[in-house]
Amino acid sequence: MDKNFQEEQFTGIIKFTPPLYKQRYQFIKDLVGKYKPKKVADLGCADCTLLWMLKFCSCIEVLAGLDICASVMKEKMHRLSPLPGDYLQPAERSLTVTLHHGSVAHKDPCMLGFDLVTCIELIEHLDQSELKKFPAVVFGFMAPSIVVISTPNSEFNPLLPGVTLFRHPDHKFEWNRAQFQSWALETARRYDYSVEFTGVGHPPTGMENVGFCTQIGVFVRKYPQTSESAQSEKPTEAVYKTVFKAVYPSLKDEKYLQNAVVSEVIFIAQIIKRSLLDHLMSEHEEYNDDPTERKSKFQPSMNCFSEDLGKRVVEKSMEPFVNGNVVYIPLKTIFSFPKVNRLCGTLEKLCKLVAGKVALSSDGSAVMFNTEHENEEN
Amino acid sequence: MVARAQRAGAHLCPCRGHRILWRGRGDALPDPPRRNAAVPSHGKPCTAAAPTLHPPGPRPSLPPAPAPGTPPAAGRPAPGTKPAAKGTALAMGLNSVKIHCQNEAVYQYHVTFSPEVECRSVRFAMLKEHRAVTGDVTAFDGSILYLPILLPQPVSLKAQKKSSGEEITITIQITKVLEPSSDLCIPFYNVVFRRVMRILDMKLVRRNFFEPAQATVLQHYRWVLDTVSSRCCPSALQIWPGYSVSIRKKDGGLFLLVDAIHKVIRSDSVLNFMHTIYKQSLSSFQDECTKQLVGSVVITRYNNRTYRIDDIDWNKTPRDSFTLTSGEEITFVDYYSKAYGITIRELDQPLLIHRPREKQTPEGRRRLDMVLLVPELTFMTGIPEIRKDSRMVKEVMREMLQTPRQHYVRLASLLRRIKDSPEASRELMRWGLSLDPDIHRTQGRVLPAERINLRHSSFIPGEDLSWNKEVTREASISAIAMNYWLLVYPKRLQDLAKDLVAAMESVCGPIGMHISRPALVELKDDRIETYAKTIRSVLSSEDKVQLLLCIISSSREDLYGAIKKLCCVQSPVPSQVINAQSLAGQSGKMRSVVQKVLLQMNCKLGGELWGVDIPLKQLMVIGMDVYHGRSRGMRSVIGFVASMNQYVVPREGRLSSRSALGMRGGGVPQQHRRCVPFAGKGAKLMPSPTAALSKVSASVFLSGVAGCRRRQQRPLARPRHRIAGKGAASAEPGSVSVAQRLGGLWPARWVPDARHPSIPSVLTKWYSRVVFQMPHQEIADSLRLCLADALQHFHEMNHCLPKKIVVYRDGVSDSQLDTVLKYEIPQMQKCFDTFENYQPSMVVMVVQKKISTNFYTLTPEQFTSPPPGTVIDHTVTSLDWQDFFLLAHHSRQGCSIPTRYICVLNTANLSCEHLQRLTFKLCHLYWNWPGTVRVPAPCKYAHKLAFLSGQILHHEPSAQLCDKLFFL
Repeated sequence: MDKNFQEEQFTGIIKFTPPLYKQRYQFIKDLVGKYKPKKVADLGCADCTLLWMLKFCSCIEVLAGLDICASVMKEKMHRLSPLPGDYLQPAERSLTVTLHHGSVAHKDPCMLGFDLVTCIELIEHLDQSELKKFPAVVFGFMAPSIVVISTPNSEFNPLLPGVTLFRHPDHKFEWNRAQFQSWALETARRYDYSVEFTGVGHPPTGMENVGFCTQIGVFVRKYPQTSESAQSEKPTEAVYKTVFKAVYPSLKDEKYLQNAVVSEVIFIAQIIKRSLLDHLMSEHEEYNDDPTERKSKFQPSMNCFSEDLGKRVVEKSMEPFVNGNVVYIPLKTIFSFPKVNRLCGTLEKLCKLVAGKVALSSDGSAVMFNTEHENEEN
Repeated sequence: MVARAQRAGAHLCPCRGHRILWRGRGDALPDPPRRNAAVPSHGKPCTAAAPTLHPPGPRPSLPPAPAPGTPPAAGRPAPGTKPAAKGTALAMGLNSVKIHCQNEAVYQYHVTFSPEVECRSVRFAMLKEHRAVTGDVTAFDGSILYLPILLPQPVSLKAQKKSSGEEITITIQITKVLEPSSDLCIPFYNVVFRRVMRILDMKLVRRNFFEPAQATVLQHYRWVLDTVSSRCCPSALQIWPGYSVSIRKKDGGLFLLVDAIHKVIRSDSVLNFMHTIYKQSLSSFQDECTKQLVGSVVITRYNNRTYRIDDIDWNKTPRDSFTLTSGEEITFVDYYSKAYGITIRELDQPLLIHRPREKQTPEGRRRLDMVLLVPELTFMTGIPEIRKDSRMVKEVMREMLQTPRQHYVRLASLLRRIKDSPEASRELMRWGLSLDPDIHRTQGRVLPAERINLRHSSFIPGEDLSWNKEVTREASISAIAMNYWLLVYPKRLQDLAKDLVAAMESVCGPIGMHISRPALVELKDDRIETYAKTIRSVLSSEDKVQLLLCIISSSREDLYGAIKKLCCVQSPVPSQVINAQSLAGQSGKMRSVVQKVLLQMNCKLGGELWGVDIPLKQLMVIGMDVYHGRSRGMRSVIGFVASMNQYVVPREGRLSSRSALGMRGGGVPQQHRRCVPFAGKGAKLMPSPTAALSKVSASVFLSGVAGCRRRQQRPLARPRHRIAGKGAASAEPGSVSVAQRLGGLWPARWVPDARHPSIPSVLTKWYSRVVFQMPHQEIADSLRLCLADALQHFHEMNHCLPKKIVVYRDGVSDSQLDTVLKYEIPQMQKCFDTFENYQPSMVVMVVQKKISTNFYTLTPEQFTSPPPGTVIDHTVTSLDWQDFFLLAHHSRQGCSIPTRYICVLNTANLSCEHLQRLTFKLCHLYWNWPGTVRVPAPCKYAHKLAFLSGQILHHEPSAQLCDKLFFL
């Protein structure tokens, strides 16, 4: 945390660099980097800034936001949509971003199964009745592995200019450290979580006793949730309204995977074909009048083929061959290239993905290329 | 923006009453009362004929009957009756959707903050807090507020400045009640529509919306590229379908203009592309990268921006740092990792430079003067510069081609999606807007077919408006005999050279050309230096050369450029380059290629191929276009082409009939300045001037030009041409295949010598000039000079000056129209003062090809392209200018995109009808294509000329070639 704090001499005006809200978001980002959660929900996501930052974290596959105010979410929600560039090179991970309109005082099954739930500057906006229901919803019902709750530390308020009662007119309360910690410890105890306290926004030198400007509690569930306890008291009714949903293109999606695989297969097959033809041509060189031009053109692919070739084990049955004008390259050969292997997993999958997209031999075991075709291309 | 909007409002609002009268006319096409135009009219109602109904706007107003020399005026004749127009009505669909405004009005308010709040974003935030008062639906620019509701007046609200706690009073005062279709509303209606597109999950890239999830991936392309190159990641091309949409106010009311478009984008990074280049050309790697990348537009991986690459910084790497707005220094590597979680893999790549255009940012925000981009994180858009790989380009084009039906289906699907999405419809309804369920249907007109005149015959072309058969089998209007010409070829193509000469001899007869055997110049190899050295030495020792024909073994830009530079600049002589590959193959193919080449060479020598009847007296037609280099900082090039022969009223028994002209074939040139041997042509080049002499020459005197040398008779200086490579024998792709497709059928419509047209050839002689001007300056600067030269030449040929000048100006966007009017036109008019007592009338037409308006013909079940000659001059036309859309060409594939013509000046009193017909006639006269083309021939000539000079010569061509179409 210390690195975030760059307090100048206390001059009576507190200024945080970077701004405090950014320090809070960075705190979450660091936490995500540490625990690598797959599913993250932000309660009280407001204009979705935190979600937008989190979408770049490559461990996350599901992002959800919840807010009581639909219009504030809608204002900038489109920045959570996939970018055009995301479609050009689809990521390996999948990512779905969903925004829900609803209250943290209500339970909705769409919030189940999360690894991390963040409540940044949320609880102080809850009125008495909502705050009372909040622990049961978040800790009891959602029951994620980690919950992060941040809230203003009222002890810091005297240092903030212009703050009379609360920092924001909508705040229903602002707690000092003792109040927050006792609430947090009681909640943690009741729902079997452990809690640690920290914060962002260091007090100025000489005023350390007031504590962080924002106090943060990090709750970690003590026992891994058993599937029954998770299922036990589920209300099945959905009460939140989905206002936004974006599914990012990824290689988990068959369509994009197929593109990637077909692309790779044609690429490899082409290199192998070149290499084969080069061999043939060098054998016939003396009969050929004008081989120089063509040969020099093929040279680079030849080199790179041998490079690739060196990296894999060549079995006899996998060897590509030429029959008349047609070059056959067994899919098995292609499958042995690491990238194809990783993308497809099994040879069957490879066969399935390229079927209909690439010209295959009659038994479907090899990629076919017509060498006649060749000269037209160049 | 506000200022401009208000200005526009001031002009337009007072005239609203008039506009209503006028609106809707487009749909029903009634015949409002019109006056007979002065010139023989083939009239049909058009918007132009109703000038008084137009609001006074940027359109220059015109006194009812302009005397010669009156100030600029648009081409709107005085109101009156008009006979029914020639041409047939045609039911058409437009790619526009009518927008209905359900609200009574839009209310404009002025918002004041007291004490003053400087920052716009703070003003936005403060007003937003009062949604309870203003409602959710607002359009606010910081001081002017538009609402669909009327607020009780006056409104006074309180807000608090967060930074200081100061209390601010916000006063909202109503200023105007607007019609919901007011121009002032258009900007925020467009914002609303962008939101609608986003609701439909479309991705905004630059100004248009795309659906990358629906991409077509072209796998083939990738390996074609990779085989020549590298082992690095495979690349593929993706084609994204999308839409360009905008809400505009047109003559017919408020419309949504929709076009179904595509974006081509490479799915591998620019870094990959650089690797590919590296493998290909190690030695010239940096130059090659610069050549291929500079000027292209890239899209980034991490945000939704596009940038044009202006340069490459080879000395910088992602490890260098830059300064954030906070003042913090950070390396590119750290920045992308922190902000976007992106790890840059190659730390030694150079960085791409983008220099944002000079523009003012609101509230003078600090503007970056340079943006550095990491190649690894950027993708190239557009079709890459792999010209060689025509197969790839073809595949891309095929993928993007849409039949009118497919185009319509896509538009209809967008409309349906909007309708089916409650959220999208709601978004529009917030401002009371609703879309018609279907595209707009209306009536267009097909102009009458034009007669094509050859030397001995004339004919009406068939439906597709192409006459390849006729021009290759019938004598051209005039043909220059090739008595002394050079054939340059490398030794290894000697057989081909022989075949070529034989083929030329066999096909020259029908087109009326006489070809003597060439002087053969055999080269020992096909290196550029060999060509250049030999050509230079031959041309310097021989001054009688009429034309130089070069055979090159493959399409090589550098060799082509070298030959052209020699022949167009250094030792001016008409030249023709033929790519041997285009001649190879079946003999049938060779024959048709040779036919085209011969016709092209005839043009370059000064011959005339065909003409149409243009019964306007003492007319000069001018075409202008501008070429811009790909990279910034290069000079722009203006091509300027002016017609040199004019229509002369036929006289009984003299030159009136074509039989009289027919004897052109036999005469002997009267004067040859340089070369002698081509007999035949010179004398008859100008029948009309001779006639003109007797009739009109006395009326106008040139102050400075004495003795009228018959300049046009100077035998052939030299023209130039282009590589007859892939489809290059003619300018239009596919011309050869057309010839083949027509097969051996002699078109029934062709009647040899059916009649002798009584009108001598007109607009068949062209004078050309090229001017280089400062970087990225669209509007031509040296017009006065060009026009004065053209007029002098005209006088030399005709012994008179033209009384009407019609200028077709290509390459001007809507925002530049005013500049044409205020700057270019006065410049041209100034040159009239050079001549004594000379005040010709003038028409200036701006030609816009890149428009998004589309037509379909509506036949009962089908959507098809409308026939060539289809005109629309209502409904989707501009409120501010007199314009029309003309589809002149026949497109064999895809949708037909018409050309938009905007008349910015018309002191010639030509009716809209006449302008349309004249324009259509001119579209028949491009000699590189035996058919109609999409723009008037002078524009197309100017384009070719500017392109040759800017792209290949980098220099003005020699003045000795100015009277030939050497640039074809």
